[in-house]
Amino acid sequence: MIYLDHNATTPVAPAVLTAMLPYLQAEFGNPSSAHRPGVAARRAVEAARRQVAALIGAGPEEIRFTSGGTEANNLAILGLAGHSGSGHLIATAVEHPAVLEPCRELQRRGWALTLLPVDSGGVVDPEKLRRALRPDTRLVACMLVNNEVGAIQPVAEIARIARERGIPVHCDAVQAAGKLPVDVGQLGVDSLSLSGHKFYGPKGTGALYVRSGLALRPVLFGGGQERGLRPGTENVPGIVGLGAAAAAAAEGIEDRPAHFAALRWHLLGRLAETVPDWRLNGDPQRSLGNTVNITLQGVRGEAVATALALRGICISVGSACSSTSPRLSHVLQAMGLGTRAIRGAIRISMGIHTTAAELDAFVEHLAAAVARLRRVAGGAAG
Amino acid sequence: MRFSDRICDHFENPRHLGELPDPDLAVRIGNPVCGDTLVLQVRLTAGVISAVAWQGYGCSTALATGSLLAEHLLGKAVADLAAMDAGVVAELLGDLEPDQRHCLDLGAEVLAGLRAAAAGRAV
Repeated sequence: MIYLDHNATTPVAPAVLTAMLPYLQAEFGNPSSAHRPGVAARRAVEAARRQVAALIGAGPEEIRFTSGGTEANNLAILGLAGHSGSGHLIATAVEHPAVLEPCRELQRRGWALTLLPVDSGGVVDPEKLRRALRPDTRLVACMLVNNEVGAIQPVAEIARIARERGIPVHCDAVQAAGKLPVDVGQLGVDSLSLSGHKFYGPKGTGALYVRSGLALRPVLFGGGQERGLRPGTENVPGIVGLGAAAAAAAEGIEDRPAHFAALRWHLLGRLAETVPDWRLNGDPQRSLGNTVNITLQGVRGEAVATALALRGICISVGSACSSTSPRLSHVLQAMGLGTRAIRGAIRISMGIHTTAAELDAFVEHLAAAVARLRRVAGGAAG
Repeated sequence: MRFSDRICDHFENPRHLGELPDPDLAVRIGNPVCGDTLVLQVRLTAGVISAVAWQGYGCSTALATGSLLAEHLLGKAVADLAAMDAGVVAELLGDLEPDQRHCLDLGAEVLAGLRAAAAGRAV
C-alpha cells in the first residue's frame, strides 16, 4: 500500500502505542481519584499536558484536552460566543467544516457571519479582514494550514489586526500541528485547536489552547474536569498517546517544512514529466509541502482515486458523488475553480515517512489511470 | 474496496468501450448536477441490437454503469427496450453505497433515451 492521505489521518506511531498501553491495562485509574491508581493517571495526564503545551509554545495550564479537533473548534467558537447574546463573527471561506458549521450554528442563533474570500492560492488577504470588521465583531476564526490545498494563512497578521480592536482570534491548527513549528505567542491567537490522529497520535484525542485570562463558556456541563471547560472523565490512554505524539512531533519540527517542500517539488517534477494536462491548485510558495492538490483535465477525480485505490494507493478527491447536490469542495470554489476543474481534482497528502520512491510509483500509476480514463471518456468528455 | 466486485470489475475492465462508425441509435445523457456523461450507440440487425459501444466521463460507478448497460443490451431485441425500466438498472448495478445511487438515474435515463431514439426511428 502507498498511503498518500495523511491529511485524512495517520497511523499511531509505535512509540505512541507503547506509551498508551499501560493506561489501557494496569494503570486504569480515574485522574480525579485520590488513591494510588488515580494519582498515577493524574500524573500521566499532566505530563501529556506539558508535552502538548511544548509543541505549540503554550503553558501547560493553557491546554484543555478534548475528543478531537472538531470538539476543540466547537468549544472555542461556541465558547467565545457564549458571552454575547449575538454579534458578528468572521471566518475565512476555506475553514474546515468543524469551524464553519459552529459558525453557521451561531448564524442560526441570530449572529451575523462574514466569510473572508481567498485568492487563487487559497490564501486570505489580511486587509480584507480589516474591511470586514464591525463594531459588533466578537470573534475571528482563521485556520493555519488548509486541509485541502495546504495553503498557509497569515494568522499572525490576522491576529494583530483583530487584537488592535480587542477581538479574540481562534486558530484551527489541526493540519499544522506536528508538520511545521507552531508558536501561540508568535501567532498571537487566543485559542488554537489540534487533533492527535493527524500527527501519529490516537483518534478521539485533541486539545484546545486557551490563552491565560481568556474566558470561555463550556459546551458540556458535568464534573468540572479540564478546569470546568470540558467535563467528563479524562480519556487517559488517549491523552497519554496525544502527549507522546506531540513529543515525537516536536523532534526535528524545524526541518519538517523543508523536508515536505522537497518531496512536493519532487512530486511536481515527476508529474510534469509523466502526466499531460493537469494543473496545480494552490500556490507552492505559500503552502505546506505535504499537501498537493491537482486538477486532471477530462476525468473525474473520483474515478482516478478509485482506480488508484484498486492498486493499493490511497489519495482523496475534491468532490463527492450525489445526484441531488453537487457537493463540490468549498475550498476549491473559494479559490475560483470552476465546476469541471473541481470534479477533476485529487489531493495527495504526505506524511513524515513518505518517500520519493513512493511518489514515483504513485505518479506511474496515476499516469496509467488517467490515460485509461481519458480513453474511456472519448467524446463524452466534451 | 468500498464498492462491489461487480462495479469494480466493470470499471476496471469496461466491455464494449468505444464508438460505432455508423450507429442506428445513439444517446447522450449528462447529469446536470453531478456532471457525469454517458454516450451509448447501438447498431441494429433485423430489430436486434447487434453491436453496442459506449464512452463515459464520470465517477467509477457511472463508468461501470455504461459497461453493464452495454453488456446487457447486446443481443436484445429493440422491442425489449420497452420493458427495460429503472428496475433493470438496479438489478445490473447490484448493491450500492449512497454516493453511488445517482447512477441508477443515469442508467435509467440512458435506457429512456434509447427507447425514445428507437421510437423516433420507427416513425
